Amino acid sequence: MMRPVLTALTLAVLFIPRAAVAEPVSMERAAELYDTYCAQCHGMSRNGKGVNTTGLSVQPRDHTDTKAMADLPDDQIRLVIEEGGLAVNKSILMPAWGEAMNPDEIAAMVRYLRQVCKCGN
Amino acid sequence: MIRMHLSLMAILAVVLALPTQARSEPLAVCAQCHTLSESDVPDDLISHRLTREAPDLHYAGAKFNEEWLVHWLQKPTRIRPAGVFFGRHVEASENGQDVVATEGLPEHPAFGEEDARAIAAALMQKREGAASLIPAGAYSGKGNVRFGKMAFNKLRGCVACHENAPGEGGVSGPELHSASIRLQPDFIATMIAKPQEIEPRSWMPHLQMSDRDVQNLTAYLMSLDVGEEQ
Repeated sequence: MMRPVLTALTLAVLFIPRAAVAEPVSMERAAELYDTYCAQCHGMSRNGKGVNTTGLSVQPRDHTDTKAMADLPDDQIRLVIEEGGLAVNKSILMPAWGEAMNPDEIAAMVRYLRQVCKCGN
Repeated sequence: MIRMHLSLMAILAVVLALPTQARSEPLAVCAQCHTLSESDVPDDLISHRLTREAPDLHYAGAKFNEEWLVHWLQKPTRIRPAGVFFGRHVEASENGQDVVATEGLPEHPAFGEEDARAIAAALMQKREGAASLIPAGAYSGKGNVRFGKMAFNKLRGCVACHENAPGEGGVSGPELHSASIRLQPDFIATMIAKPQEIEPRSWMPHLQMSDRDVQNLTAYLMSLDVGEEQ
């Protein structure tokens, strides 16, 4: 009697749509997101010297700068990623990424930046 | 006599069929590097963008100008100065500045005129996915070039990622000094207005521009002198 029920439950679990299961965003995926969106200006070395920066009027933040990054609260980092530089009275050259990354990915990016700057909290 | 006649007929049929076969599948060579159908685009778009060899072409018919394709396929030039994904073609210089490692950038193959025309015609039939999001008339034709230039260079920062003249501007995005001959104006306007819908997970940000800004920027890009590319 129990076997059909268990089989049905097992099948149901196996076929839950992937989107319905919230998977935490790994640091590996956060690094890929950084490479995709951030590295063009903040650099593949995360040092603020990306391939686009030679002609920029405002230089991007160096994410390896432990002291400067430690001064930034998580909420401010999240806000500037989601809404862009103007949201925190910084340069318009930092665009809003709120439509490219979802809130979970942005939260993971904040955690990833804490690893990069070695200023985790 | 009859057998010889039939053999000649068979040979003639094969000879006639060869160019027909070549013309019937002109995109086969493109498929070696490009994704040509929306259904073939992987679900994991981030990994796809980091690893793909060439841009997706499933909506090429709503993006490119056919005459430009015919010309470019015969004499291809580099459109993305740092490659399809910049991260695969940059290296840190001595002072830590990322620079493009040009020797590693792949070259696009060149085709003869007949093949180029066949490929271009087939690409113009590609209207899947984002093509339905690009309405005719997205560019009104009434933008202000001067305001568009100001937005591109200063107010919206487009120049940080795109070149508006050869060697001037950012390199992670495609060059835009050739936009007026390369791209359809309705595509340009829609890509500026909603890049993440046209190219989901693209590293082109959605800048929440007003329609006036979109029209001005499109007008500016359509006005750029393309010089020798014409």
